[in-house]
Amino acid sequence: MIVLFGLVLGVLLGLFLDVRIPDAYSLYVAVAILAAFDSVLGAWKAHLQKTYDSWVFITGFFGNTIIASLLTFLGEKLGIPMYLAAVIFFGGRLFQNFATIRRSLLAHKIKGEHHEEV
Amino acid sequence: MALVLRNHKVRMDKKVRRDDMKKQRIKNQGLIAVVFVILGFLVAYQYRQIEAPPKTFTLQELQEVQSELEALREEKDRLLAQNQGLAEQVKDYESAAASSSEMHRLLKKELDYSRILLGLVDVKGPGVVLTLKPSDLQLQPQTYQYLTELELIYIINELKFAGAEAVSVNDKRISIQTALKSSSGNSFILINDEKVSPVEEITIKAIGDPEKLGAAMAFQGALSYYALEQYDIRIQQVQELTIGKYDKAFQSDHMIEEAKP
Repeated sequence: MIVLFGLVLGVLLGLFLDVRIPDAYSLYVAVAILAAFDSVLGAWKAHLQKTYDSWVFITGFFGNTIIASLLTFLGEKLGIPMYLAAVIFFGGRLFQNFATIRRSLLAHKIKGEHHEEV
Repeated sequence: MALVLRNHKVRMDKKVRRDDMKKQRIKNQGLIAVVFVILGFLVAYQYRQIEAPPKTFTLQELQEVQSELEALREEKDRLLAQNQGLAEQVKDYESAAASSSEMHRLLKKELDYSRILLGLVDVKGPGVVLTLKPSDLQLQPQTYQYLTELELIYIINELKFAGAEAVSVNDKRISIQTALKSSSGNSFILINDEKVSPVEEITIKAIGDPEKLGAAMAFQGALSYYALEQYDIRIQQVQELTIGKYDKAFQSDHMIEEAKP
């Protein structure tokens, strides 16, 4: 509930608020989004596995985003597309997390059906 | 009694702990909401950015627009000043006309003639029309070059030497205060602050004796000046052509008439 509320509010802000992030930082925003998604999926996974902790989630969210941005910055200075590292790592983990979540949900469902039968 | 009291205390403790936990949970939920607000914002922002990337200008475009703006502003100031001057002039003439209608007639005639000489009115008469068309680039790719202001000035000078009374390039009147200049690496030539592209066909009109003008242009080697060699040039003698007026303002910020002794 709170998640949906926050998401909708954020989307509305992004669509209607006239904020300008300079074009040069477009890449940073993209990498930050990826890192943020990774954190969110990680949190969901942890929630399903009952190991969720708010502080782990929040520090991970901001920490990952900041490190991804720093990496991008460093890459830009060195002339290596370092942001690819963030893209590959977070992208890969996104799939892993999703796979875990999927299995977890399926397990719940099977258990639920089992219950109903009994 | 003591037991009841202790039980009550335990219950109170539990309640306090539950309140604490509740507070903690609300705090956590708030933080999660903040996180999702940020995430939503970033996604929506990026989406919007990619949907409609803001129009950016290159430095050169920006400078061009700026210089154009500057020129227009100056132009406007000049026109305003000129307008004021003309209004005063009209007033003067009106008072002159009131004193004598003969004087009025003469003044009007003189004024009209001055206007024709200055190029402030459309004029017509016999003359020649020159069209300069860039020849096929493929023919001489190595030595190919487009014309600059030099070639145009050369042609205008030749025409005037042959007695041209009024000249225009792409309908931009060559007035007594007109100067020609290539700009932006010869991507265009400025005439009266307007652009003429050397890549496209250029039309030069001149009023004068068609025979003389035509002869001057057809003279051996007259039109092989620098880049003119790369252009297909057509000379047309016509019995009547119209040349538009000079539609900019003249400048007279520095010069004044010298008093006669």
